Amino acid sequence: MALSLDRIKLSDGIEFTSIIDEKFKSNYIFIRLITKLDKNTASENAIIPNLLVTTSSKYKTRTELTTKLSSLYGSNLSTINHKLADNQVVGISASCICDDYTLNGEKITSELADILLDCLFNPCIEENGFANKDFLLRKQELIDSIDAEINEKRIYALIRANSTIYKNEPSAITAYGNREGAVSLTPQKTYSAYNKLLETAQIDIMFVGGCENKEVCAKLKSAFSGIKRSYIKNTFVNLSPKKDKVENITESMDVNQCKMVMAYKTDYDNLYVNRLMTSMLGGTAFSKLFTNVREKLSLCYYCAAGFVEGKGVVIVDSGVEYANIELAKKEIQNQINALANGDFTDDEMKNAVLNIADNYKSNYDTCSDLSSWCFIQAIRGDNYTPEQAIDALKKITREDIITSASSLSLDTVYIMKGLDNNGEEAQ
Amino acid sequence: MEKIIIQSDRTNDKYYKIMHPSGLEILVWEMPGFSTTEALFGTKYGSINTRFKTNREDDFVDVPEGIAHFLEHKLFENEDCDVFELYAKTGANANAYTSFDKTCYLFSCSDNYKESLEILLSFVQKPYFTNATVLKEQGIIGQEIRMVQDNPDWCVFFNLLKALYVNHPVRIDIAGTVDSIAQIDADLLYRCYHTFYNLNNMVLSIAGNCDVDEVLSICDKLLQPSADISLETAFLDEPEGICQDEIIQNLPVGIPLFSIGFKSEPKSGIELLKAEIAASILLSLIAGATSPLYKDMYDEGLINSSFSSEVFTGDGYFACILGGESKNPHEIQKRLLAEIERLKAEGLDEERFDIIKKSKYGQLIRSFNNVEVCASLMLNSHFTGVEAFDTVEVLASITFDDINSQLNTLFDSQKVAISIIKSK
Repeated sequence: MALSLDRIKLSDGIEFTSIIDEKFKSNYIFIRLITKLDKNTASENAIIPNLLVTTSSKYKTRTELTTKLSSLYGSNLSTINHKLADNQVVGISASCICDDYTLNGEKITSELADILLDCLFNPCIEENGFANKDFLLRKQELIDSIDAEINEKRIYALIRANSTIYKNEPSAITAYGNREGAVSLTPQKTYSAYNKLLETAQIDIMFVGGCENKEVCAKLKSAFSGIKRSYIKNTFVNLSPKKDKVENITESMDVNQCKMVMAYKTDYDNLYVNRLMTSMLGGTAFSKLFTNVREKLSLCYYCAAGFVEGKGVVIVDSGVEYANIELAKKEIQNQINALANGDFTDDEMKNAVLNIADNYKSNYDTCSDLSSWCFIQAIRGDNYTPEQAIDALKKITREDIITSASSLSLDTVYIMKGLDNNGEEAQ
Repeated sequence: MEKIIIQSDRTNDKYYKIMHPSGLEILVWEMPGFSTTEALFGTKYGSINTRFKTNREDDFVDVPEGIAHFLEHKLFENEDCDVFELYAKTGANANAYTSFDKTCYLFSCSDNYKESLEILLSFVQKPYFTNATVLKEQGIIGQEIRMVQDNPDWCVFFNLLKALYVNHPVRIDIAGTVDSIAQIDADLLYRCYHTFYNLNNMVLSIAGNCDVDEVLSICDKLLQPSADISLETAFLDEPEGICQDEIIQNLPVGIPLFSIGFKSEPKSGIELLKAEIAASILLSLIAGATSPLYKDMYDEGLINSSFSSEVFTGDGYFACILGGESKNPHEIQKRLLAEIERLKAEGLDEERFDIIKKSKYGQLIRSFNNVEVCASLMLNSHFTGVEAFDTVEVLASITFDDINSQLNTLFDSQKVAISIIKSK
């Protein structure tokens, strides 16, 4: 791989990575701030990236900033906000075409880095808070996003299920926080939260692109080297405790197709084994759930499994007719039992490894995938290349898969119940 | 077989175009340094192609809606196994999709692309349907049709198409209806398959980590020559005007969704590409993130960041569409129409045109970083009747006068409709 990777520590809890691969025609800068997910701060953390990409001291309105970015060949400032186990990752990514591809030889990467740093370190401030007019618009937008969670029913079912799966844990909430938290935000409180984030969060800075740019990297390093720090270390593995009794939740909604989310928990803490087991269960179009529950038995339109890293949770989500719910539930459990009983072929295991390996290698092909891969590796502390991670997968034995599947215990069943053919609540 | 090189001097990219003796056109974009390979095997057969004629028929034949999508589902089932079982041995991620005007079977992989390509070419050329398997699929697709009716984004878009189009089948759901798919049987599937899955009506597009000679060697081995059957497709006459100016549907949503569409004259070939690019620039000029209209509506809280636009085109349809979330979609429609009339009277902003053109150029260059986008670009360009790099050339050479001349025709206030989804 013609790729050069350089990772250095700038100060306590701040790391800088530069990844250059000549095949790329664009450059990306990622700034990620990682902090503990908390229902009291999630909304204010969520709104911060949106405020930072709206204006800066040099471009005082959203229109001015957007126009400037457009003139830099459609350069882009995007927001980052997602959960990572019991942590919240917020930040900004900036991207542009490589200077070599500009029509008149303009050096746009350096100019974009200046804009990004101005947004980060010189936001528009009034009365010790974010500028009120833009703040109110962005606040309403955050509230709208929370209100709109209901629109996409598959995701909404997962959000509703999470509140029970992770009861009394940070992961019970989304990365937007809740409506009450969003409504209570003020410009001053949010600006203070931002300063606290810069001071205490783990900060990960990455330059990923097609050409080496020492000037831009020096600017980024210098800007973050001087900030006041009182770093609070995060933990990334915090297994969700198993409930004493399975919790069953049913909610009604005006939908044609019911959604069912089943959550299983494990205290078997081996990431690659759990990933492979989950893939064999329901991660591919040749997995046990897809082949048996969807294709052979036609019980669900979709039925997939995913592993939640750092929480030890396997989530099986499905779209199912109400009349088939009990059968589907039983059959999903049967497929887990099959894995736990060793009822799988060597080919099933080998093919799942092949599929995951293929996906791992594809991370080399876009700047954002490469950045995400390196970021998560640094968080885990492994710093594996895709090839090293594939080696770890290849060492997994049948017994490991059996141990992983045997450790699963059903924790929560969430059902979004729809209407029957007469438009009545399904019985 | 001649390997024609299609090259872009602007981006230093090139791909090969080969007319295979079997009747299939093959497009190969070798991308050194990339790990993945993306292959698309597509037929110019989508949900809108419900009326056709070949040299086997005396007159045009009408078939029920939803067959293209039904075929896509059924082709994954071989006589002896499921196609996913075959791909499982190569590690590739396989999929397929049916749109309004095409059906594509695809895989992406980082290893074993030759083995995956053999699977792709083999199963698409080997249909196997029985009335029993058709019956089972009717149940599965029936569920899919019901499931998308729960998706407000899908509903707001299809309701807009129903409002814009009177007869054109683009107004019908890609999967058809529960009633239309009930009319499908194995014989009908075979008839449509042998009509549209003729290699003269298809294309293979492959990009990324691949080698043109290796691809051709596999094609030579597996492609079964197709005789040209003089396939023609047709549509009912579509009036210039819209069907109805508004459709409102109730679904559980947090904030109302809306979609506003301007219907205009359909185009084809290079004229379609030019009009598409002009429309895309006009949408940015009228209501893009740097426009005065966007600023006003955003500052007043009428729109949020979900507001976006697209140019929707294909065989027999062309529309400029804007949409997003808003508590007052009718006010947005009113403002939009007023702004378009203002621009028609006062003229467009040339300085902003230059910036938007530069911005779109940069976005296009960036897309050449992406194996998946490159494979799709070659395939879509082939079906439009242009080359993949024509987009860069048309964009680079488009002038302010070109844009001005299109404003009246692409944004006619007599041909506008709105679709709204809101809670009861």
